[in-house]
Amino acid sequence: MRKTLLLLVPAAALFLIVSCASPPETVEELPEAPEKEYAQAKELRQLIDDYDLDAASPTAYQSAEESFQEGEAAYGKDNAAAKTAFQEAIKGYQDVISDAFPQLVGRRQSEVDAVKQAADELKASVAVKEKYAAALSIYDQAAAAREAGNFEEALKLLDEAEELFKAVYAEAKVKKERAEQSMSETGGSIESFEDIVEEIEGQ
Amino acid sequence: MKKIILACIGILLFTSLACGQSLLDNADYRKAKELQRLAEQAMAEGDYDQAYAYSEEAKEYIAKAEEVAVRRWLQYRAYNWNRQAGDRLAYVKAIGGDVTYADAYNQAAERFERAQQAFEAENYEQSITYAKEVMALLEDVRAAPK
Repeated sequence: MRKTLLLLVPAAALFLIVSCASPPETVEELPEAPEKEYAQAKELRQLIDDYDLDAASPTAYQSAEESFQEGEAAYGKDNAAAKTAFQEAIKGYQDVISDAFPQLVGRRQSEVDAVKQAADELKASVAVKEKYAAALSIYDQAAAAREAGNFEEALKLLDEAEELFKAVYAEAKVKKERAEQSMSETGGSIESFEDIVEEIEGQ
Repeated sequence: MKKIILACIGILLFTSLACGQSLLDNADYRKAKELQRLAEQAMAEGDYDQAYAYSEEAKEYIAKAEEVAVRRWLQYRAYNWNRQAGDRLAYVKAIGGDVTYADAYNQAAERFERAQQAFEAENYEQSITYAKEVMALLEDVRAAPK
């Protein structure tokens, strides 16, 4: 009996120690902050702002903005709700961009086409051959970027092409005017010579 | 010798100007016209630099053509004035004017010599001036009534 007691007492003590060693959790941890979603939403929002894309889809943009603000309000307090809100904002912004960006690029393309057409009508491809070829190359790259859906790149290239075509047009115009002036003077000299001859031979 | 040269020049001028060869039949004029045509063609193609170059070259040719034409015209006029002056001088001498109007005749003969020298030196305007003086000096010379 004594032996049995000697074995039971340490066992009970050991049981008590083990059972008290790791008490159950009482504080629940917050989910990780949705940094990635927040950053992406901000990036898309900035893109819309940079190119004034909101005007093309004002309702969708407003809805995305509300989600974004909800996300910011919940961020750090209820990260799960913030994440959901940012995801909704991202989708809304993406819808705005996918709707407005092609329209914007299309409008810029039309504007650059008009500048290019003016240069073409002036025969700038002959008058300033190399510079025209450089402008055309950028213009073609813009078209390829647009085709590939790379609208931001397309816009940058269109801006560049527009500047180059304007410069090409201006240079060709100066050359044309110089040639016209010279030809007018030469024509006048030829007519004057013919008049002199007529006068001489009429005597 | 001088008279032969003058006569040859006169024949050439007379045949070219008086017998229908126009001053427009001139290599420089034709070249200027051709260059102007090329300039118009280059202009239509948009090659404005080339058009300008052709046009400027045409200007040089037309200036040369004008210079040549005016020179030929002056040469022709000087030849005609010299011929008239020579004829008048010969006429005055033939009617004895070299004796009855000796001063005028001698002055006129001297002017005629200068007119011919100026013509040979291709100073045609001066030659015309001298030839006109010959005509003026002998203007009042009349044949003595018989």
